[in-house]
Amino acid sequence: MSNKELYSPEGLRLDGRRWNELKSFTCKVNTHQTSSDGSSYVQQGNTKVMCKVNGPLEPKSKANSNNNNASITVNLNIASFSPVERRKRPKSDRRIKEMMTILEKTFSETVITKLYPRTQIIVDCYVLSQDGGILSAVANSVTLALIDAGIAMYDFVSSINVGLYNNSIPILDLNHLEEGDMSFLTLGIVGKSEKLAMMLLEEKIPFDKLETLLGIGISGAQRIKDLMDEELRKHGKLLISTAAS
Amino acid sequence: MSFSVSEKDYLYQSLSSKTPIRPDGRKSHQLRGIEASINFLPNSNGSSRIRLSDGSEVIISIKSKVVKMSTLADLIELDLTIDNLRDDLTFISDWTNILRNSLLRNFADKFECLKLTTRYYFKLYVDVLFLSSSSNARTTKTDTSFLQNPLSMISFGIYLALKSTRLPLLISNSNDKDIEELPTFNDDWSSTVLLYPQDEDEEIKENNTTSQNSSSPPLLFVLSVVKNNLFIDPSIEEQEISDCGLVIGWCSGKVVSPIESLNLNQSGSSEYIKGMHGQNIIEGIKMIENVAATVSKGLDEIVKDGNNSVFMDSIF
Amino acid sequence: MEIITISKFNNNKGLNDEDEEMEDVSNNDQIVTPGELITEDTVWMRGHGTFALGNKTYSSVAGTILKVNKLLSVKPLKGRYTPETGDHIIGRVIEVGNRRWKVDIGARSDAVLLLGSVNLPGGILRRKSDTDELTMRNMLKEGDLLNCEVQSLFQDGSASLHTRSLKYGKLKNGIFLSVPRSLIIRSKNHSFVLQGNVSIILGVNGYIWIYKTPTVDNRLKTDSTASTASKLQSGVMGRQSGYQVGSGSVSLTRLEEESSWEIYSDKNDENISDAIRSNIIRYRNAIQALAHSQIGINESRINMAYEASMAYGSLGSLTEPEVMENISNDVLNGEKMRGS
Repeated sequence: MSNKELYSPEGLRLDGRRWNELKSFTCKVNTHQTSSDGSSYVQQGNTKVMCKVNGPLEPKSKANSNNNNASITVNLNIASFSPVERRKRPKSDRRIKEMMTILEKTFSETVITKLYPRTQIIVDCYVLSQDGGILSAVANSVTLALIDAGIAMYDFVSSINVGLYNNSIPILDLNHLEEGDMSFLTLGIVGKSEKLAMMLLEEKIPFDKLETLLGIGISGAQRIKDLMDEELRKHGKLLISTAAS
Repeated sequence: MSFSVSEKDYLYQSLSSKTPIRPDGRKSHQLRGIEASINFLPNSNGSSRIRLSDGSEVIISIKSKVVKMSTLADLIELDLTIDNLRDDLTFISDWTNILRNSLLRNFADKFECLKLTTRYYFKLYVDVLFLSSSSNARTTKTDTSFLQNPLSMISFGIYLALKSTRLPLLISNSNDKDIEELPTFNDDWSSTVLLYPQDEDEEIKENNTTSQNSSSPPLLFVLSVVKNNLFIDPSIEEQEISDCGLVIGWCSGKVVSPIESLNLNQSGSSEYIKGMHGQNIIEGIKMIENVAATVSKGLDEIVKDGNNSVFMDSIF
Repeated sequence: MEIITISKFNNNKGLNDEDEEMEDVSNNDQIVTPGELITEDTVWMRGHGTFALGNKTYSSVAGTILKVNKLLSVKPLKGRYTPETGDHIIGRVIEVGNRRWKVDIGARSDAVLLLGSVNLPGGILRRKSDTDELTMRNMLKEGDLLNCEVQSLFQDGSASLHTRSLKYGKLKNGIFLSVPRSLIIRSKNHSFVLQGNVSIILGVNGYIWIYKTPTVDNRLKTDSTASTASKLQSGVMGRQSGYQVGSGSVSLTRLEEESSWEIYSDKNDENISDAIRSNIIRYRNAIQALAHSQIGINESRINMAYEASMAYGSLGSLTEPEVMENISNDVLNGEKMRGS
């Protein structure tokens, strides 16, 4: 696909969005009440992700036991049917491993792990449908599921990606066609601050553009945070109205 | 799952008595209720999701791909993923085979629908993602004691997914015997064709009770045998103490193969495994004959609802 | 004919058709989420669910603010069970170790039950011996369910259990059920005798045991048969040498030993009638219905749900989502009418 079609002279993208518009974002928490301690579902455009958190619990093996902190294990399952073209990835796929490591590191910093020594927190993520921004959607779903599980955290991690079109125009929240055609960076920020909890850049981006991209990404991620926060409060009110009293 | 000796004994007494009482109070021929939805995967030709109240869940995707003519058996590929388990475990390939074979055997009249031209066919990829209810209780990556037999649930899911599957309409010439050309399709979603066409003449069908001629994908039913009693769709506790298990297929109004015995006791403790009488199998077949039509009717309701409404955006 | 209920996915589980009423409730219980600033006032001591940066106190979980005296904490909406000393809970043995059992109680870490914290067979007052260590698996083994109390907590928050009371011990004659622990309403008592010859233990940790009410008669009967047997034995001795102070005590220890091994037996009562078995299942389904609608569970609600369930025909129909919601609604409406 040629570059020109991705962004029209009128300033519209393939799916009709403007450069700084988010994909439609919906999320739910407590979706798997009986099979997990915390769970969530996040949908960003056609990217659909489920997350189940179990823990903190007794580590399954000594290797996951740390005397001072909880150890966080992230399993990422990208369903073979999730991309447009079916593709079965082996468990040892390098990119999946990389994403799991990034997520484990990010959330080990955000969860107050010192409160749960000698325990393990197991995070299972399932990508059901892909349309760009998998890592962001997964990170958002992990945040929600961890909060739903009642695990103490310093703050939300909200994530989004942002690309650079034609080396000049920044574009927020890419879909899979856009991702295939421009270099982009994925970032996760802490709460409503401008602090970065996570950042992944796999291609080249001119240094002088980086700051613009970060700025746009941060404001996008903050909007995601608000949407997640809203959903959590809505769910919380519902729970309180019926639960133990 | 590890149950205590007295728990298992209590269950066994309850289930083996003359007037058996199941742990959730169901009748012998009553299945667990399911929640189902279809058509929620935008990148698939067909999809379904089924959840039981115990939290286990299955997600099915059907994807098509144009391939050059090969053997019919190659036109359906089935892939089963269970939680985070490794996929080279023997029982996973056993289950995959049972599911795939039952599909292939009952698909004969549908191969025509997959035929595009003399050279090209649609190949269907059936991808199954099964999430068990208690993956957190698992001690190792290969520990399967917490796994219940998912065959029945998966077959229901495949039934729904196949019935919601839409294939693109061919617009190039279907006869390419002489001139080889790549098939081209109408890329408008609204002109796609359902793999299993829905009956438009609903009223005629209702008047004519015997009309079960439109074919359907196969369903599998799992039964648990405890002494002389049979229980359809056993829960994980019931599976644990079963003398033996039985899987029975059903397709388009009649019982079909597989009719096989199964080991339902995943934790591998052998004290309750006993085998069964031939009589059990005959009774099992009778039971399935009585309930299967209702089940497929119920599933068809979901299909009708889902296929007539707009594309499901969110699955929750 | 009940065969299967197939429903479409219901997005919002629970009883949420009362949006307007919810607003009223929410005013009292303001919800905070992680990272939210609660106060800059330094008079507060910071409890669970909070963390501090400088003078500011933030929430670390999603939940409601709880202020007790000068202690400020946030109670999470959900979370694994956190044991507290004195909690009446149910646990499942997962490992037999060195002078201790590891017990799953649904908490962050497994609890321990020390050999010294159980009633030893052969008398409550007996000292434990080396043979007890070797016969630990005869008392409690992997998979066994226990009715117990949290005796103390270790530094890391994990629990040490004890069963040193007649009301605690190994569970039998019934079925197990687990519900989210946040649904269990704490009360003074967590074990109840219900109507229909059924008893229930409502573990604070969300583990529930529903069983046949042990009959006092029954206990006496088994005890008396055991004692007649031993009397016969001692009777032979007695006739030979007349009454001796020691002879009685021999049979007494024996009797004690037999009855205390009895508490670790895996054998269920033989005469559990179908009626009792059905009642047990009805209670189980009634509790499931409450849990399905995420309603807090206590004795009176269980009774009300049980009563309500009678209106919905067979036991099997109680597993249908619609029926479960109806039962929950009946319970809530019943409470409103009684003004509780």
